[in-house]
Amino acid sequence: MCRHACPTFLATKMDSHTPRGYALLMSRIDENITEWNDDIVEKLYQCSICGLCAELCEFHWQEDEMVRAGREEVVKKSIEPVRVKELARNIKETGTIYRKEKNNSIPEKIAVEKQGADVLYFAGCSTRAEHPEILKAMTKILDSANLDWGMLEKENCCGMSLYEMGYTEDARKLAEQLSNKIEEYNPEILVTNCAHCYRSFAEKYKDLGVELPDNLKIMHSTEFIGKLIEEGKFSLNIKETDANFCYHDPCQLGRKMRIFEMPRELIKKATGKALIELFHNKEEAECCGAGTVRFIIDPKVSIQVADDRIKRIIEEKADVVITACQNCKRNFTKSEIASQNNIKIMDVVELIADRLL
Amino acid sequence: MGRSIQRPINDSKERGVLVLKKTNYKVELLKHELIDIVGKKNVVVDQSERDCQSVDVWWITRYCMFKGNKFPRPDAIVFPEDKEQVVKIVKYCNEHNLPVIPRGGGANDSGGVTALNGGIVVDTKKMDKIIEINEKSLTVRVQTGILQKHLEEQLNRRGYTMNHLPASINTSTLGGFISNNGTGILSSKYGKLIDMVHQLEVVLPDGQVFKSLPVNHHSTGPDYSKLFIGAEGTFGIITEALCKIYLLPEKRSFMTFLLPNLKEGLEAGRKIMTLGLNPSIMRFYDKRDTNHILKNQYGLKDEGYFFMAGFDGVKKVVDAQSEVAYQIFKDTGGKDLSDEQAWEWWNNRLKSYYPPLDYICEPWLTAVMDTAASYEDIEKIYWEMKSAVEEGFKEYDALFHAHFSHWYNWGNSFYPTFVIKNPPEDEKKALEVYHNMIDACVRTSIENGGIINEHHGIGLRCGRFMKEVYKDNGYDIAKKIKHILDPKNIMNPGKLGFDEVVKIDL
Repeated sequence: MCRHACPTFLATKMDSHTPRGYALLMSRIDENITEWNDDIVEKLYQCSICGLCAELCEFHWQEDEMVRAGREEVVKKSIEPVRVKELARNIKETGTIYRKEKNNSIPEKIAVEKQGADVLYFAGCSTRAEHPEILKAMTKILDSANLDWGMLEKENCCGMSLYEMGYTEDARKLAEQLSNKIEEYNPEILVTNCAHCYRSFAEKYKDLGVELPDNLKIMHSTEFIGKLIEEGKFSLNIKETDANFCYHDPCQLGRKMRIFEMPRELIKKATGKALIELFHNKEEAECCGAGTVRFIIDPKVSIQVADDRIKRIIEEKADVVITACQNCKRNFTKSEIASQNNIKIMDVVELIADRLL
Repeated sequence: MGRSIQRPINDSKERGVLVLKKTNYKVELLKHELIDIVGKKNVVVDQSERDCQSVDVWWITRYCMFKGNKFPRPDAIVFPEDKEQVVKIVKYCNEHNLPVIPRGGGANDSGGVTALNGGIVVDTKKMDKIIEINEKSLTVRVQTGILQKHLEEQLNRRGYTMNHLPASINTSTLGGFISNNGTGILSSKYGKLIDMVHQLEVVLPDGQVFKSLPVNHHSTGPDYSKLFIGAEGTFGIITEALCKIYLLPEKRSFMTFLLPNLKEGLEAGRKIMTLGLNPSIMRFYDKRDTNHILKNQYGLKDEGYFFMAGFDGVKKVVDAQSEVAYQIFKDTGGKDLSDEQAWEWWNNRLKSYYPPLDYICEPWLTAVMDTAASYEDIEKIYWEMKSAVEEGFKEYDALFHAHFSHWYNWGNSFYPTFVIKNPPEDEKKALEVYHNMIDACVRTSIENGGIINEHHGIGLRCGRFMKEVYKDNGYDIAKKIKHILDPKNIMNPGKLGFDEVVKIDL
């Protein structure tokens, strides 16, 4: 069973927060023994869909997909929590998970809606709204490599947020819109630092029946940077440091897309040091609690999960956590335990940008 | 049970949303009293949690739940974070005559944590700290709400193990295992929980805290800690334990043989145990279990009675023990299957217990009825029980298969499963057949020198046999102790056969 690893269960210790709990509650609805109610719906939206349950299941039952399918049914019946409904409406109207005042455009000096550039850098709404430092770091790397690159001035949401919340049809529409924009832009390479957007483009769009150009190479920032270094596009300056680095595998990049090694290689190249390997790592890495939009829908438990992960990082004696997903960075940064213990949180992109020669 | 919901006025039934219900005054009052003790986040009364906590692994609770029948639910669930909160909760419940149901993982398969008369579930899972690992004395002091998996992981990281590795390791808590006197796959060498615990801290039904002596080998009067091991939460709530730990073994080795019949296997196993070879794993499967588990699940290709023996520890000692055991197996004339099958089992041993391999996902009537007896009696019990099931329930095509998995130098335990793939459609009839099957198995065991249960516990499932079995062996003493410790009978009432005969009916 997977109870021992479910991040929501570990934060609340409630049986109704385990995959078994979700399965039991939804089975009873399926068998017409009981009906959907406030309680069950609420519990369903407290899963971070991290997929650790499916990974650890002896037979890899897709409990996370089961929860998502449950949400789809909830949305069809229009009984989702009010805050979920409002968030979905916001995403459909503004193309971002954030309210308008947080919907930052790209800073002027970066704004380059250049049709036909080889490389299209897609920052994603979370990076643009909450992590300008990651966006700036990424653009510094792209400039440093002397690439022909550009960005979309208006990036609507990739659709993953809606998909996870159960708004599959709306996710498909958003995905189609974005896919058309990307096709119009006609890049050779689509690179993003957002692990959620990366998974959307590389995997989920196919499931939704949304096509991206066949010859488009989709890469996560870590893969792309690794490629640039291999091609000698830039070098890194290793700065001596006493800090102990660890790498937190983001669920969407690691467990879901199986990218484990490249981020680690980049960190070792940038720091010249061996990484502290966290006890639960790679495909078994614990969730940070953020999910795609879980940190908006369920902030309290979301941060509790982050706190739990940080506690274990502290036990391993790491004082810098590198990750490759801005949502992970966000949640760890919000963790009081991290700040009380002076744990520094960085994205791989920032680390590389800081070490550019 | 009512609930308080704040919804916008324009939500309506016509929109297929939700129906507002009136708040139940008594529940709200109880909730606020409990909040005062453990804090708001640690009191849960929502329906979904109460539903989840009313179903364990027992066939009856699952059957009732999925037939849509009402099954007892707790009134509230509290999550204390330390012993002091447990004391306050218990005192409160004692004062107000509220049933208290201590609960760990809730993966019992006997209804042991069912809130038969409602009441307050004291869910211990937030009390999960490892307080101290003592590397000189090889002990670990730990709060008993810890999941065994987490405890084992933390010990492994430091080069130790508790050597308690049951199938429910990922689900269940140390406290639950102690309360049931559970057994893991390495019990032949390392024993049951009763052998693994040095010291217990228990909150008694009146709120007093009992702590047993710091070591369990002494001549200081009776060892009162033993009262609580196997008491299934009826005598108090175990909050902390000091347990033995071991170094991770230098070597682990296996041997597997396919034997021609049950007798040869039992005799070979008896020889290994009585010679003091000290194997850590001894698993002997009857023919049907060999097919069901080893063939279907682990790819064994041959027919017969499968025996797997394993040793662990210092390499030189393991090699010496293995050599002698190997010759014993060879002398049976059985077929040496090398250790490949055993490693396959060891590395995937939990697979049998989860869907789609476990019966739990099938709409069948099934149960396990483990028992233990001396070598003198165990084989007879096996055949008698097999006959009681297959002949006695022939009209239902009842199947019986078993493996012998916990061996001692005086006898062993076998783990039979009975299955009826087409239970009666009528629910009352199905329950009747289930109860009759349990009756047949347990009584066969008792009448032939066995016991009611070896490690799954009594709970609700087997409580009705306790008076019968112990009438000359301590049932009255147990009842007196129960009455002294818990005169109001608040602590996990209805379990362990202390109350009236309980048979679940619809």
